[in-house]
Amino acid sequence: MIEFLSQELNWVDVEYWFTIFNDWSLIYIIIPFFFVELIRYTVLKKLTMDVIFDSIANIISFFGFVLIEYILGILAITKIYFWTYDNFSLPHLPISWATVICCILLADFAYYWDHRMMHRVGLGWATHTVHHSSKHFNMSVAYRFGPLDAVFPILFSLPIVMLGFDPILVLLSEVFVQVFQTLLHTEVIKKLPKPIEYIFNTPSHHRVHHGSNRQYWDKNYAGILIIWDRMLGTFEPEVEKVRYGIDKPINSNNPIKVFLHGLQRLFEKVADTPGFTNKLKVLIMPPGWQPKPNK
Amino acid sequence: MISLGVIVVLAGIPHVLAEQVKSNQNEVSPVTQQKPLEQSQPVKKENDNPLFGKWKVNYNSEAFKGAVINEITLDNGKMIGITVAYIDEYGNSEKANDTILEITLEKAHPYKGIYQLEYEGESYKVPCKIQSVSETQLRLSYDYYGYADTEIWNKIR
Repeated sequence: MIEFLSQELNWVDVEYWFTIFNDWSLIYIIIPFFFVELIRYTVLKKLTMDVIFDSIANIISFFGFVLIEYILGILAITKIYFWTYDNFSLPHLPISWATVICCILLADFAYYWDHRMMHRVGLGWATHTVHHSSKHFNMSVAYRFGPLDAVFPILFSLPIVMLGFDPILVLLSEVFVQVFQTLLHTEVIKKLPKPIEYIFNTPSHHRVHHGSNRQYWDKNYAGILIIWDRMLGTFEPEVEKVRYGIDKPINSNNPIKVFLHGLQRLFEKVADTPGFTNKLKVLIMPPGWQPKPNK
Repeated sequence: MISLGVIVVLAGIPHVLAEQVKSNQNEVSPVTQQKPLEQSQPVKKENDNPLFGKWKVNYNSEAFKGAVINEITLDNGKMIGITVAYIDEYGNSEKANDTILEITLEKAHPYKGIYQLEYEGESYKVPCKIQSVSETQLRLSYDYYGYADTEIWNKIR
């Protein structure tokens, strides 16, 4: 077993399998599954224009996100990641099964903390609220990203690079976690067998995460493994029927409004908040934070 | 604390295993120990850069199926890559001495260089990047007017 785990792998094979899971899954699972969801909406007579326009806005917001991701990718991956890898890293790890598996698990754990921060820090929520602002829950919602959604993960993936993991492997692992997460955005699958529900993040757990019901707020941050939430006290099972969306709905499918509403609301809140320290706190404190009124 | 524990375990496992593999490799018999030393001595004397040495590159294209053995060495103070052997898909090998790579930026990471490509009988000099993936693998990539490729070079011990 140890021999198998420490056996050095060929990069071509590693990249090949990541390509199959990360890139091609859009073709062989995500798009077909989205069509199944559309059929389900039709059968249930829930296929409204709102669902269609919402889905279109989701895809358009994704292109905005990808554009920013590309610009950041060129900067972050080729410069910061490799510079960190060369100057501030533990001994570089050979590419073995152990390295790949641990890198994916670390990327998943980093995703948990990144995701939690996006919910609990004002600036993070300003961008991540875009993803939660849909009133629907289907595969297209997984592509509904905010303008800074690509920025925050860098803070959490750099430490993985510092631990000696190859920057490209870290990036591929992050995408792998994201693709797994994408598959959870569905109402088609109800609950999976108990052992799976106990260990892995599932559509049921992720529906809870998207719930605007009060008991579902800030729960189930996991990417692949729900055990992170169980270990860190943020787990909530799906009991009450989930109402999707945010507490202050945007009531619009305009892609620009969808994409930028979080930042706009944050800027308005900063502008309305008196005092420089308080303005700064709006950015870093939890989204509902308000300065104490003067007595 | 829990988070720190998770990070230590997940980062520790591959490091411990990598160390174990390293120490196992060092614990070989004196006969096998002699071989790599003999091969690497002249190179080590010149420079300790891990890029130095012989590398095998596998190809499976219509133009060529087989492998090429390249050697990165010093030539008048410059790091260059020379193809020292071609091996066809049936295992037949042919010696060579063709300079195919010149590393222009030795301190940058990834390393930068000029890679000589043969395409439909024509020879092209293409800017490339050489990224050391591990002690035994490096990744050479280029993108020349939309013709992009990545080669994985495996070190021959």
